[in-house]
Amino acid sequence: MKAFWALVNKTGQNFITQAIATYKGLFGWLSVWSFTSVAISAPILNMVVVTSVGSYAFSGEAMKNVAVGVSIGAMNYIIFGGITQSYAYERNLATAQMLFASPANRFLNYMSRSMLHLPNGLLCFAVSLTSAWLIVGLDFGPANWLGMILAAVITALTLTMFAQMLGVFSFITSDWSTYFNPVLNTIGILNGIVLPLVVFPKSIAEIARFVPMTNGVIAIRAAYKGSEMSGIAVPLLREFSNGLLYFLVGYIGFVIFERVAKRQGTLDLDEH
Amino acid sequence: MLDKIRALYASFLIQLKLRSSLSRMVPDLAAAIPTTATWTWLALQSHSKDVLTYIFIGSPLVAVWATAAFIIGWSLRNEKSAMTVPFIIVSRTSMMSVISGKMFAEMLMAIPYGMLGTAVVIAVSRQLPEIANIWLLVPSLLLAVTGLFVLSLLLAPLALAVRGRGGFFNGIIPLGTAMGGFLYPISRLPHAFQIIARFFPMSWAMDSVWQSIRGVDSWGVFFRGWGMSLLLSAIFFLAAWWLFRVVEKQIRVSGSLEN
Repeated sequence: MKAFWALVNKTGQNFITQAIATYKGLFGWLSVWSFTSVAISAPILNMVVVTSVGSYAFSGEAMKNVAVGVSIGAMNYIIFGGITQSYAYERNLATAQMLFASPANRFLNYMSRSMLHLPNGLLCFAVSLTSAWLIVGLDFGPANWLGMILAAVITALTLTMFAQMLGVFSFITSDWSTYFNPVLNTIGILNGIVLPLVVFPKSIAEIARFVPMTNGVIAIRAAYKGSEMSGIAVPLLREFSNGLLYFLVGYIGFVIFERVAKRQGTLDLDEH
Repeated sequence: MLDKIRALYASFLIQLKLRSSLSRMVPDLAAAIPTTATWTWLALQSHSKDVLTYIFIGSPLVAVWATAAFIIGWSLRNEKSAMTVPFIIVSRTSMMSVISGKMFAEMLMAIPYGMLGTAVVIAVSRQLPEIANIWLLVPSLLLAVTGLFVLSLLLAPLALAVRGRGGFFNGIIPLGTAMGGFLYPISRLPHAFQIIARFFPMSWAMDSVWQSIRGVDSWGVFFRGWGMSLLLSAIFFLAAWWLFRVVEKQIRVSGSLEN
């Protein structure tokens, strides 16, 4: 029993060490100005842009609905950017070879990379929701706060898993910035935050339910309007299961890349 | 003066070559499509042709601002990393001429974005823009672009002077998008942000763009837009000139290119 707890303790410490190391060493926005820009300024300004352009189409409760969605959408930039760049920098700074040469548990390593980015996403959500309250005058009277917080946490988890999946792609290509904006903007049009899903054909709307945040947006809007937990359980479960799917695909990609790279003797797979 | 123009032209050509590769352009162009489509859809809900035309004109400007501000903003730091700054320092070429040349190249590279934005707006709206007075629109647009140009120019020495690291522009680019008036007249912003927006030359020029699209309500307001845009652009240009001199002096006095 003692040995078991010693192993758990050591594994936990190892996990925390890796989480801190990958975050501090590979997160390029970890300076006061950069972090404040992306975590505080950008969510506020994004809310300003969306509500100002959105005022062409929405007003009153419809605008508040959009603003609530935008607040949860504020998480995506910092989470995607933070995680995908850390994979790319791992390649560019030549530390990937160290990882592949080490006996480190790959599952723990993969999991640890996203952990400290998750609170960043929640911070952006909080800032964005506050700015929505100030700009469009959100009324939290009937809101189901537990539901809103749960929706935010689960959506943040899904976003980290999706970013991990994309991060593996960054790992392979040593590049994160080229596809970052196209992916982010494509998700932005399909997640129902600004464009309601009803404007799309049914087939596209159903595909959109597999896009990160789509179900989280449905859940948080329902929770804001006061829906009970039973009313938001289904979209939250869908969001969570999407996250598990991204996690699985990403982890398999992570492991396969290492095997292929070792077999070929190089991390630059396009040389073969 | 001729030397400055030669340096400007040389850096213009280099930047054009660097940026005109398809592998760089295609992702940026692809990224612009969903957002332009979203704004067009929103504009359609207003059932106002003026709003649709405004988005038609403004959405390429947003793409230009985001790309140019980012690339020009990092250009001095990239010159430092590529070890080409010593040549600029040693020669009599001013840094500002080099960066201005790059900026002109970025403006030219904006044409594909403009064309794509136009195509997306027309495809989503299935309408053509309607402009009340195109002869007023063109100079107003030129002033908006000039404001965009000088603001982007200011970012290059700023990033170096404040030792900007990765993510430096994450707050600045959205600031320009929000306050520039590219997607909406400034009057649509919350009051506190309207005050901030008035420090941006583009916001004044876009007022005149809005009047050109709808028809001029007040010539006073229209020409005020031109006047303030020119004045603020001149101030930002002088600020950029001064900051370039500060950065050059910093490098010459310290004798080091390290931050």
